[in-house]
Amino acid sequence: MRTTLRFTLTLLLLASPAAAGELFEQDAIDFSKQVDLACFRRLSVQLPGRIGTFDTFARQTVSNIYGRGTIDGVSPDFAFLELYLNSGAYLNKPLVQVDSSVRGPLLELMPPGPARDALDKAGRLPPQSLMGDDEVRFLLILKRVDLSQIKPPIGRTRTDVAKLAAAQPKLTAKLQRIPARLEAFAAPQLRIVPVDPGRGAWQIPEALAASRAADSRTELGPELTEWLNKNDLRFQHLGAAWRQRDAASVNRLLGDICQDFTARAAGSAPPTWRVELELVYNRFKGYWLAIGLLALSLSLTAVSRKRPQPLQGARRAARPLALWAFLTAGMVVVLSAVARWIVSGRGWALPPLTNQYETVLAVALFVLILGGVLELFIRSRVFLVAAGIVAVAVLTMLLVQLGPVKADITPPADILVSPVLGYHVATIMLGYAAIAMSLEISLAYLGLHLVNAFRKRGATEEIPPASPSDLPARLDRANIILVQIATFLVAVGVVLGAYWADLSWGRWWGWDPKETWALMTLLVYIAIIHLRLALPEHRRALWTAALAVLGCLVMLVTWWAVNYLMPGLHSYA
Amino acid sequence: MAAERKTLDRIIDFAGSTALGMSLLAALFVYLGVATLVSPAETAGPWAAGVDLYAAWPLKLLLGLLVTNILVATMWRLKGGWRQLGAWTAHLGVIVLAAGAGWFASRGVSGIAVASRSDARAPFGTVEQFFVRGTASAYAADFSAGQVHIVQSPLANLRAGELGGIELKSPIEGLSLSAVELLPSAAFDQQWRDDAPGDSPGASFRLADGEASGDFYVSSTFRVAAQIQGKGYSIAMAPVQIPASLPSQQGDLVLLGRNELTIFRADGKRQVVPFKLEQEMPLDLAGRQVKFTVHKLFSHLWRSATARPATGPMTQPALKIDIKLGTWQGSIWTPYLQAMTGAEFTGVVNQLPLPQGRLLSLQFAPQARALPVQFQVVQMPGSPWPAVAPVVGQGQLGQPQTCRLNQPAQLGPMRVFCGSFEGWPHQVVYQVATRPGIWAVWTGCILICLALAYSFFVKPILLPKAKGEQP
Repeated sequence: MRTTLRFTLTLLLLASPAAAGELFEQDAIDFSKQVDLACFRRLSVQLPGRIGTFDTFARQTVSNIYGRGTIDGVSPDFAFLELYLNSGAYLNKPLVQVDSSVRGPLLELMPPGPARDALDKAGRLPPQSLMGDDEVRFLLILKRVDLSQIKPPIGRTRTDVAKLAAAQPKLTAKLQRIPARLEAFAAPQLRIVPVDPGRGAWQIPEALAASRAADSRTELGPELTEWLNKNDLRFQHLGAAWRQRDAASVNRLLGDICQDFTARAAGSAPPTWRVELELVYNRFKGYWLAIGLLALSLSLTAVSRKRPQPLQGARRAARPLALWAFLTAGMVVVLSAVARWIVSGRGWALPPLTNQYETVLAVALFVLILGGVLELFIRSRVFLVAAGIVAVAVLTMLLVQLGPVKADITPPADILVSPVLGYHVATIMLGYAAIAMSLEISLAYLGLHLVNAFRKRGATEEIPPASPSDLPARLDRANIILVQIATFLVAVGVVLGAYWADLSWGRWWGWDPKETWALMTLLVYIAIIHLRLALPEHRRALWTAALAVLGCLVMLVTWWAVNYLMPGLHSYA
Repeated sequence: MAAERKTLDRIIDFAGSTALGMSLLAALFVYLGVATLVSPAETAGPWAAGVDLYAAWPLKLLLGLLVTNILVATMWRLKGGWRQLGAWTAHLGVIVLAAGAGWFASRGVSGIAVASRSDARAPFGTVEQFFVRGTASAYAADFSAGQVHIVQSPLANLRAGELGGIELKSPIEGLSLSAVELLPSAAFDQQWRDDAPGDSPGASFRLADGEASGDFYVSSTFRVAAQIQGKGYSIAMAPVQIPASLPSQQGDLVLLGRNELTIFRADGKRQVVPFKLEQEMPLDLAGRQVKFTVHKLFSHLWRSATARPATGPMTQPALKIDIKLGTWQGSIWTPYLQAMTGAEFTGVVNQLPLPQGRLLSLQFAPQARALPVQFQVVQMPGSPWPAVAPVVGQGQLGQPQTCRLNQPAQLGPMRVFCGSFEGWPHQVVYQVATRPGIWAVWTGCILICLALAYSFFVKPILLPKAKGEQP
């Protein structure tokens, strides 16, 4: 219980926002409290592959530039607009996130100076140090940034990045993110103007000014031209008022723009209920809630098994309460996944199983479903505990968003747009959920086995043989159930994958690393099933647990390592 | 007799034993783990570095032994009855799957077929051949008086490095070709040389037009060397007979002669401007003020490419071909193309002007093979994806089938797969494959899945567990 609490507190501390003033001046933070973005954050904007809300766009862009979803505790909506409308103020501030693995080599390469100091201290580079690119300068001019503020040497760090990329090709992909983040700052592709909703041609506000020339407006007609000019002026005034911290004017202009754009976007924009759902999805701390409920469930389960029991009534009540807390956590994750599915706008045929984040979410979901169903049918606390621990670990991965696990809803690779996707990936992930639970149980069994082995070694009296109701026997029974489920699901998943490969690539099997490791995962579980037939009874449980640990390691290679370490056809997976 | 039977029983016991099966599974597991680390990627060429353990005999032996173990265990060790139905079905599934996979691997063939057309308004030509995946051939084409004669030299068991001079078929008498070196991953450096065996007038010049400024070459076989992208004009070597007008053209065209430039304007007007070597001339091209300086004129100009080992996204395999024609000797490096088309035969790095106005073109691509069913690409009303229609007779097409990503078309024994398609380009690239034995593969897979479902989830409910039986 204490450990669980400490773990939860650590997580809370890790995710809490940084101290105020890391990037924004106090006047900006104060200003954020006066600006009313209730309407603006609901504006429909063009996101990669879909139309979503400005709120989502701001969150993704701020995270892409800064490496964190929030800056100095202000809302991402305000943070984005501050960086967008007041870009000039941040040219010399540590803003552009640099991956930690690249920082060391880059620091060695960079000459002493403010940019190097910023990278050393904050892990971020000032945009000015990266601006040797004509395109970036042009985009900043479009944004009316006064380039006279930019002092030489321009482009030194950008050259350093290029040099480092040439010298250390393994870091190239990470290095490429640095200029990409700068471009996200300079040209965030905020498309909120549906110039022609019928054709879906959405424009960035800068284009209002860029396309002011009459010849490019003739085909739009006088009414639309007038509308564009009017809103171009509004954006200019908004920028000026924003920089002057004139909250009254900013709120009036934001309201006017919002009202006008919302009216114009009617027909192209998602329905109101979906906009509201997207905002709730962005703000809802469902995973935190689920982790809290699972911690409660695990604690109640721990309380309910203690013997002798001075408070028998309370302990009797703890068990159903633990199950209810567990099921509620499952429901929260189900709702999060369904909300993501709806918000993605991909339709029912394409479930959220198209990138690493979504597969991790699927495993969290399936672990809770599998654990809940098995617990309801078999009533062994083993499933509840195993599923709870796995779900907490997996949900933490989603919250921390390590490496490629990014929460952004991105358009799937073309090849993934197939009805087979849902069946193949869902089956495999359900199998992985069973494997992960089996790992927990196997580790527990192996731990108990070790303890018993030490006890036997030191015992003077003979220890009676274990009865079927003993914990090791219950663990083994639960383990083999999960191994059988995993074997079946992985086998079906591999067959579905072969069917899909036959449809897409013209061959059902090609020894691609993903295919080969999936087969190897299956081989481990087939070996467990057969080994139980061949081994004497007293050794079956131990071998099952040992091989299940191996099976989980192989599954992790199949799921993660293959995607990023081995070249193949599944690099999008 | 009894002793012999005992020995046979022992052999059968061993061959069908779970211990042997487990050992083989463990060996297969280790073997596959190593294979994923050392074997080249599926997408690499047949000469890719690293040993392809998936195609090696130990894997076939392991799989063969495993299937034999399962077969023997099924026939001699498994008992009858409902209790063993799952094991029977699963083992039968594996055997059927293995048979189907063997059939598929030994008889199946896959490759790339390219449909092309001359321009965006013309219909696509009939696709008659495909290029077999994982193979290599050298192609030599003789362009002579508007005729093309192509010969193919299959290159089996090609390995990277020195090839020892593999003799290639030649389309021209007296011309000998031999493949001498293969680089699995190479970058190309190009240089202009003035020693082609045939006449090939050319010139080098300097162009000053903003960011398009630079030194360029132009020759009779490299007619668009100085096509200035997006500037509205292009420069080419003048033919012997300069026509009075051109039928149609995009932008201004400058034809570079021995003493003068002939400029065909986009509006149909013609202008002749004399020049002297190394003398800068101001020209008005496509409304732009351009400075033009001819450096040198050549008589046997051709572009020679050399390949060097390199890695990265802009590299490809390269084959060096030595050429001998009388006393003339030279070599051409040619990149490996996934499929060869007529359009690609006009590639720029592998053409050599020969005497009598002939032109030798060399290509390196997979082996070409005739399609069992020829097809044409047709546009289906309302569909953004193209359809393929089998050619069923002289000029007659069968029922077209839409072919798109994840939705292949079936033309006779061949499946046609379309990976990507945007707009209506000049070429559409298809993957094609025959799939013999695929029904056995799916039957085996279904049997295995049904057997697992029965054994794990149905049997425990329908049949109570026998004493001592393990789940």
